[in-house]
Amino acid sequence: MRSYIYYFLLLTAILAACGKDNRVMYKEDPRIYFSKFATNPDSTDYSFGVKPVGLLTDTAYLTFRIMGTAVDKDREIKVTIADSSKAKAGYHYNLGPLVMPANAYEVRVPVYLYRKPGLKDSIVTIDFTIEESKDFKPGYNDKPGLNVYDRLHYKISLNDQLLKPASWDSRLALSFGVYSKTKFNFMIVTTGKTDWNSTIFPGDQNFLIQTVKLSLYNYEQANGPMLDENGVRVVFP
Amino acid sequence: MKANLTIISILAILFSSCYKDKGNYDYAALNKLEIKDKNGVINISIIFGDTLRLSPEITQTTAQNEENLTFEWMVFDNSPASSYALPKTVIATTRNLAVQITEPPFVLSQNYRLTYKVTDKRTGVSSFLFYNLTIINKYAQGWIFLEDKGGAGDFSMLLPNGTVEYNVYSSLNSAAPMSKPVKLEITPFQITDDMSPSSKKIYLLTETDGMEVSYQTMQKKFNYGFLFYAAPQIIKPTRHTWVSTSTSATLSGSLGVVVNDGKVHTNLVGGFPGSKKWGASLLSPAGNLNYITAPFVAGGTTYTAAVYDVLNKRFYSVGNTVLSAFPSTASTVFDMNNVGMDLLYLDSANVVREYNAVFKDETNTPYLLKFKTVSTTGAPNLTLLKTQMNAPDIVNMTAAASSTLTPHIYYGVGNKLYRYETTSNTTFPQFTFPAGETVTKLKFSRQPLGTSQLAAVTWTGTESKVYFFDVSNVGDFTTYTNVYSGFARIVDLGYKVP
Repeated sequence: MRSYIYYFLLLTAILAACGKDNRVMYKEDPRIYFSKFATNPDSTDYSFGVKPVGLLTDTAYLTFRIMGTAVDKDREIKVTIADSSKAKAGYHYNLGPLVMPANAYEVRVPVYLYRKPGLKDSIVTIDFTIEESKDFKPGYNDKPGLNVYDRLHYKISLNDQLLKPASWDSRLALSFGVYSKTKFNFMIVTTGKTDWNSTIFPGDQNFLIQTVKLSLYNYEQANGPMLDENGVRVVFP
Repeated sequence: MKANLTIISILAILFSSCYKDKGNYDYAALNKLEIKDKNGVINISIIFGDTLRLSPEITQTTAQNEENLTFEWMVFDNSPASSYALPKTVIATTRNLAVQITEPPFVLSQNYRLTYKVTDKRTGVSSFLFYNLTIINKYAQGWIFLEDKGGAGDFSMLLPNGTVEYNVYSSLNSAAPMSKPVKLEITPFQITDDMSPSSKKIYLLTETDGMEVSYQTMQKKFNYGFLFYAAPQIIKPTRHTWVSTSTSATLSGSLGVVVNDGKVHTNLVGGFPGSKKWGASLLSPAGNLNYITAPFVAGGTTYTAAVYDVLNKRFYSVGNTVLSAFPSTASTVFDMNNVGMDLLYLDSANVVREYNAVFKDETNTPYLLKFKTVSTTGAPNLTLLKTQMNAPDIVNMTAAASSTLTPHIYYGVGNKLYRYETTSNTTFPQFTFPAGETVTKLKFSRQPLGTSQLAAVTWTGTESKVYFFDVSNVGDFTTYTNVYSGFARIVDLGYKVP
């Protein structure tokens, strides 16, 4: 009887090594952030002023990206609008469904913008902040590149005016000279380009410069010099 | 007692695993394989439809025969624009390869990676040899003759084996007939414009249109207007070329220069993202369009490109977005900004980045002006020579070609071919074609490693002929080496390299 006990103890000791370990896997919380790249800047500066007069509504987009893996069900995204926002929900804008679709890593949520009379003389903003929802915690909050806002915040500024692009003095002035509203409007009309804040690649930039120069030459041939709102002749260097 | 013995036995078994392995085994040397191509060829251009034959050398360290080896030849599409997920195809399992290049899996103009895998069945160890294949057609290399067939365009080719293929364009592009042709443009270096994979370029210009054709297949690729961001309102192209600012032996395109309806358009290429197309007309330094550009473009490094305005009789420096005057310090021998004469001909001289320009003044007196497009801050002058030419009848020339080998300009008047020497300002009657033939086009083809050639096109009244002269290293020749006939009126010609 004793020998059987020995056998049992020994076999138990030997077979103990045959147990299967549970694999220890890292499992992170599902998180979400605003995807921001050079072609998807941190803040949308939208102006109805560079659009056709008849355009009364347009759409901007918030691009959300998840951390972790996609799952097979729709998940809720939560954002709050900061008190600093001057835009009125339902009047200046409406937000599309805040849902990360099943099996998706990224979603573009539409923000419907409305052209309202007050935008002629004021700029309103919509300041978004990602909050924790039942499906996502806020993602990481670094500031990619030269962005002012981190990846948990996004700002849409809305107006109906011809505003000087933020990058004019630092980037556009070299190619297009001194800013004036008249000049900028002429540039938009002749090139059809309305977004002058995002990156312009060299080939496209050359074409824009060539086009405005040629268009101004043709304008002057027909109408004489073009004067801006300050009475200064519009020229391109 | 029995239990103790059992325990001791089990412990002995358990402790046996603690025995130190001395590692003193007998090792058998593995058979190592080495494969190489006996011709050392890795990059192969092969004509679609031909049979590819390869017999690599295999050496083995222990075996003497190949009975225990298995072989596999596998290809996949390795073209720059192709997906990485394209299938791999085993095209043979034989010792040597002999396979016809046809569809599938091969497609004309695509690049393929060919892998030769040899496996030793006894060890399972494989060795590999890789080839890069480019599938070309028989028009990969040769002279192209752009022909005007009563107002319709076509081209023929003279292949390296001396055979002439007539009606090449029309046979390959029956659905895209060409209108009256004016100019053939072949770019001898790669252009990366992101409109299609990097490649050398061929443009065919007609009186009111043009196109890009595929360098590989010679089939129409893009309509002329598509080459521009916004198609010009008037399309009358006379030049559509690329210049390179490279200073290394291998050139690559830097700036595209178009002369359309007398106006200059540019296309900047380089290692930056975004689209690359030709833009709007450039304004003159005076900020207007009151200029007409001659169909000549001189490329350079300090100055990327120079063109001549036949209206204001002066040169311009071509920039990305504007035409500029040359600085006053660039002109000492003559004034680049005020030449004041009519340009007859301009082309590369026998020194890199130097150009020969033949002018005539208001009295019909010919002048040779030489200039360069390279300068330094300390030596800003570009002008090299201005001399009245001792060149009979050159103001009435019907064709000219500047040698890039020797200091000569060959020019044709009627059925006579002359050789003008730029250094001595003398002219030598080089050759006389049969009566009734008129020289209509000349082209110099420099062959750094072989015999350079001068191609002369004549028009008999009913057909064009092409004569080839082997040019000696002093620019001389006595008679032609070959003549080809049966062409419609040749308006331009060029040599296409693979």
